[in-house]
Amino acid sequence: MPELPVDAPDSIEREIILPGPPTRVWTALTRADQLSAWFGTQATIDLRPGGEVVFTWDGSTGPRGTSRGLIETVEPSRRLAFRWQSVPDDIPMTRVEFTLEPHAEGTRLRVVESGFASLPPELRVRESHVEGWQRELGELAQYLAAP
Amino acid sequence: MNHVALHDAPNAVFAALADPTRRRVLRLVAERGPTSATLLERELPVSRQAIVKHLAVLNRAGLVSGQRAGQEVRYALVSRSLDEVSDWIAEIGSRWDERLARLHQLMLEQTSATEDR
Repeated sequence: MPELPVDAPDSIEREIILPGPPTRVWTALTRADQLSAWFGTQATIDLRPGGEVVFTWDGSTGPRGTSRGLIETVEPSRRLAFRWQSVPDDIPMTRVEFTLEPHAEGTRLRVVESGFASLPPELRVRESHVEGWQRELGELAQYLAAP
Repeated sequence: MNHVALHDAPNAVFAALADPTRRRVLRLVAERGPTSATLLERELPVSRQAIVKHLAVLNRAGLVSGQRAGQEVRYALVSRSLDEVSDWIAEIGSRWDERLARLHQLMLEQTSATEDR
């Protein structure tokens, strides 16, 4: 019997070692212009618990759209967490948590997106996430096609 | 038989998996092979009626399929629906891989810019 993902698919976990100290990585995670640079879309952020982080796709590479996160945890240079909110009905979705640790080569960054198994049924989860994914695929395709 | 439209399936699957008892029912069906509500009742602290309801939700989500065997219906796992959930989550994981690769690139650029100064 193969292991079944009945409980398993609740979270996605990634870890990466980044050059530069945690303070600099923190800046990349929390300053709108830097966030925009790596998240792949225009970002705005109100950095405080209860504040919003908003990502906007301008429509040039796919459907125009917005993803909103409600910030839950702000521990400078250590931890940042937000929860995606569905648009436009504001239902809490998955939670994203970044953890930063000093490392010999710079910073160890861990990202965990969790809560997939308990997403409320009324959410059009697939549509919203896959649209985002297709947007990013479009961006990637454009990037690869560029001379 | 299930006739779940493919594009609707993941929503129904997530809805079905959101309930912990239902996840237990599904796990038992997966482990035992074709199983009836009566058999499941012996292993779960819930009523047969509740199990029948859970099986109906799992069936609508395309996670199990029922087949009549004499007096009872035996339910078996349909693993394809779970594959679809796994694929969907893998897609979101790939997006994080891409973002983190871009973040790494950004940090590299900033580090070399600092060193050049």
